[in-house]
Amino acid sequence: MSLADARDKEGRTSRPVLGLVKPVFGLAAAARLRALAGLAPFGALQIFGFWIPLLLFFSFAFGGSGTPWADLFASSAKIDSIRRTIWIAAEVTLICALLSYVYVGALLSASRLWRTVLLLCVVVPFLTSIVVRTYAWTIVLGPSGPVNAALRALFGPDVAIDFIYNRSGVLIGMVHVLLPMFLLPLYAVSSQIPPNLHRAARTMGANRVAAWFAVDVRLGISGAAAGAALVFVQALGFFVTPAMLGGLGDTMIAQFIERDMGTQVDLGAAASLSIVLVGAVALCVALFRVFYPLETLFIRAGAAGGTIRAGPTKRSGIGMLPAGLAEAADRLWLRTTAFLAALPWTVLARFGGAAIAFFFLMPLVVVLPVSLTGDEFLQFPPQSYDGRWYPAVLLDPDWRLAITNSFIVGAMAVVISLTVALPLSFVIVRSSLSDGLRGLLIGVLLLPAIVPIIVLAVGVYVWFLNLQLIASLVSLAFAHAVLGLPFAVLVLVSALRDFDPRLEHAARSLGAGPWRTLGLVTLPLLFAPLVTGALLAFLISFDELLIARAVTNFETVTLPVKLWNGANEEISPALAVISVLSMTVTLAGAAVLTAFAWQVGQRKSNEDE
Amino acid sequence: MRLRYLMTATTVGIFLHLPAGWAQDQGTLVINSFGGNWNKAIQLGLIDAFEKETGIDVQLLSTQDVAKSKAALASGNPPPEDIIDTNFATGFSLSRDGLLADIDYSVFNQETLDVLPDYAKQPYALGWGQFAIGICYDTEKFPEDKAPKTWADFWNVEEFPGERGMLAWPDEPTPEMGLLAAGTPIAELYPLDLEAAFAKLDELKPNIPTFPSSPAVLGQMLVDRQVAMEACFTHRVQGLVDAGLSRIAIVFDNARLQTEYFFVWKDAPNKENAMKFLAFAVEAGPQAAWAQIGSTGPINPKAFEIIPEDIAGKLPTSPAYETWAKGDDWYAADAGGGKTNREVLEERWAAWSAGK
Repeated sequence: MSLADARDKEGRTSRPVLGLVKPVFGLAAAARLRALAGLAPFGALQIFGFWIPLLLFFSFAFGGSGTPWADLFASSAKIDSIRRTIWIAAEVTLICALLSYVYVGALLSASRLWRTVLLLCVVVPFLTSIVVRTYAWTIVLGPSGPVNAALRALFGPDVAIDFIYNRSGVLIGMVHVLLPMFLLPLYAVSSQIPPNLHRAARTMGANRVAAWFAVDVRLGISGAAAGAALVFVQALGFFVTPAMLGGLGDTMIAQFIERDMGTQVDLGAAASLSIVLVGAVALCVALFRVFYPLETLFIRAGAAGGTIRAGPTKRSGIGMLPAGLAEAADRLWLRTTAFLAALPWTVLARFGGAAIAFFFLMPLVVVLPVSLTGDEFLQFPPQSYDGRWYPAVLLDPDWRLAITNSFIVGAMAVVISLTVALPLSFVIVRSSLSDGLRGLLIGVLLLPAIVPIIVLAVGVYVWFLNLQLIASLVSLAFAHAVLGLPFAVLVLVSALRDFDPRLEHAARSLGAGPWRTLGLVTLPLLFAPLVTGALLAFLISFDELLIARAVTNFETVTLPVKLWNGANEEISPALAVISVLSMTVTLAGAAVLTAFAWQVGQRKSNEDE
Repeated sequence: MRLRYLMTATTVGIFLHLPAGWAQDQGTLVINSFGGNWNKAIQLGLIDAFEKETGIDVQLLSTQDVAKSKAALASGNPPPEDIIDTNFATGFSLSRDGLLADIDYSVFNQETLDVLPDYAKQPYALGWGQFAIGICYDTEKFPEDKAPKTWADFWNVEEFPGERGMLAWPDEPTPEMGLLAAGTPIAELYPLDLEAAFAKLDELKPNIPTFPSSPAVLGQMLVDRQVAMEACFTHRVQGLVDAGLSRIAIVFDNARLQTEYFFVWKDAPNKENAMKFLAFAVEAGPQAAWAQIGSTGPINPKAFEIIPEDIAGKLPTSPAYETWAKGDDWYAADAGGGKTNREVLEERWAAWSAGK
């Protein structure tokens, strides 16, 4: 048993420090009460901001005047779009998987500085408005954009490749948005694999490719599994990207939902299609759980306290074949890997990593010169530069209002998320829940991050209307807190796993009460993850379009709503200016995160010495 | 420290929340429209003058969303606005559900009513302004001697090579244009022959890269040279031309006029003020002021007695142009099976535009 395991066992069974209730009812009852006290705010928030709106919206599919279900199944266009959506989601997941393995390879072989740079290349676009990025792609990939200009310069003036308004546009845009969701979990798990395992495999005679399969792929599989599930499920609910980059024959389910609500004003049709979409998402998650229970990623990966347990060593697929065949397969495997091992993998990974980093940054790089244009309308390349759109936007009361509102909502969403996340994280990590219950809790917690937001938006609107809470920044903040909560909790849970409870024991034995211990020891030590969780919750709120569009009015409009209206109403260089400004906010946030990561890294390496 | 911040944030939030809910006094009126430049023209052209004349406090929202208003009514709440600005067919479906008030034409100026086209004076809807879908093209691709003039030219990709642009809305890529290109005279367009229209659309489909769902994106496709010619709202493209995009030209002849309608909710809290506003909005003065701001078309022809000639040339309803009006009646008419022609067209369009 490693030290980490021992620490974890002790942490799990020791008395929780967050003692809201004194153990007067006996230990078990007190613990149960404490767990309940931690769960109550979470339950209240999720019922308020997720379950009631969702069920309210679904209820439109039943009992109305129309026949939404019969209409749905009679509509070949909608049935086709369901099939198409699943297919596109699968394509996107596959592409993300391939690119992620290359990028993680590049990350792992890079120096610390370059690793940070490469990670920033992922994180900054990841946290930049989807509307902004998607619009940027139409410039980058359009016939007069830089990519086609470069192709013309290389291959002659008649070359023009249609990247957008077709499937390739949808795939490029969606991969750009979703790749980080595959990459980051894969990197998180892969970077924990001790490098000496790979060395050991090489010493035992495996070539580098075989060793990569035996060690990196197998031990990193939980990260890849989480990534694949996240990407696939998110892709099912995509709206902005196919709407802006797709062409004929690329219409996805969410667009039909939007169309039913917008042009058709048929809430029954929108609700029935939404039920199908949520059903598809649920089915995928359920199927996926057969292979890999998502929630165990957060339970077990942490429970191991940083050490990786190797799975069974037998190659299951080949092991089931008859002996002769298995031998042949083994030989083939050896020969293939030996051949592949001859390729210059480090160079390839680095080259691929650089290409992917460039891909990540491309839409952002284009937005910058466009924002400095001196033209009256948005064109690429700009005919003149004078930067006059910056003062125009910053002095415009409408844009200022939207920016202020977004910051206020984001800040309130952070406060709400963290208030709920902190006790919940303690319950998940330290209470004596069974693994099954804990898994269920995490599954429920993740739901708002899984259900497509377009499905939630109308429900939130109707629900807030009933409560007379419409057009209020506070109520929008609550709705956003529901979306940010899962991310805040996951960050806190993983930090609490690594937390050494002996520090708290020390404080308690020196006479500090539970609240003092919390304030003087626990929270200060959790400072970095708290900041990380707060930033994530803030940025999710800062970028949220669909619910905000449903519940805000002209006085409470937020930045993404104004951007989306702008992209629909009047495309002007102001959009590029706002993009650059919001990226600056993101960059500042990412810089804070990176600084923390460096600090933590520094502390860890100091401890190691 | 954190508590104080939280309280400040909450107070700010509450303050921002208040005015929207307080608009239901006497002497107020809430109008909901599309936002952006469209709202700017309504505010400057119609509302400012109306407030000055009547003293009624008008709030113009930019969150026009019939689905949301309908959801509000369905859950027993008052509508978020008194007047909603939308197209005829959408309003028709609302009137079918019994959600709209009858327009009180007795408060209108009779002389004004006399010059308005009949289709503007519906029982539950007032056509208050017009805009047009016309051919907009890149003069660098088609110089003056080779300029397209008719919808037949729009369909003719041999003589007028290049990609075409159209909107994704079912009644706005306009099956009529295909029929006109095939030689149907304007007078015989309605009832629309959908078979013939879609056959014609099939012909052009390979030259249409995408059907954007927003006019702004469609206009931008001309800017970005993604299309050589498009069927677009003339006022949108006029805005780009006025901003300096001089290589784009607009063909106003043969353009389809569409009428924008105001509807008043049956449960509107300020119904009387709403009727006063409608009567005001179609007067020649406000019409002229409104149309000049956004290069749109006044529905009251008397407005052109006020509008300077050089500006009149940018407006689609100018008497100098031969245009025709979209047959809203046909779109709203029953197609059998409990569906309107528009709904049938919408479904057919959705399947057609989504298929390869």
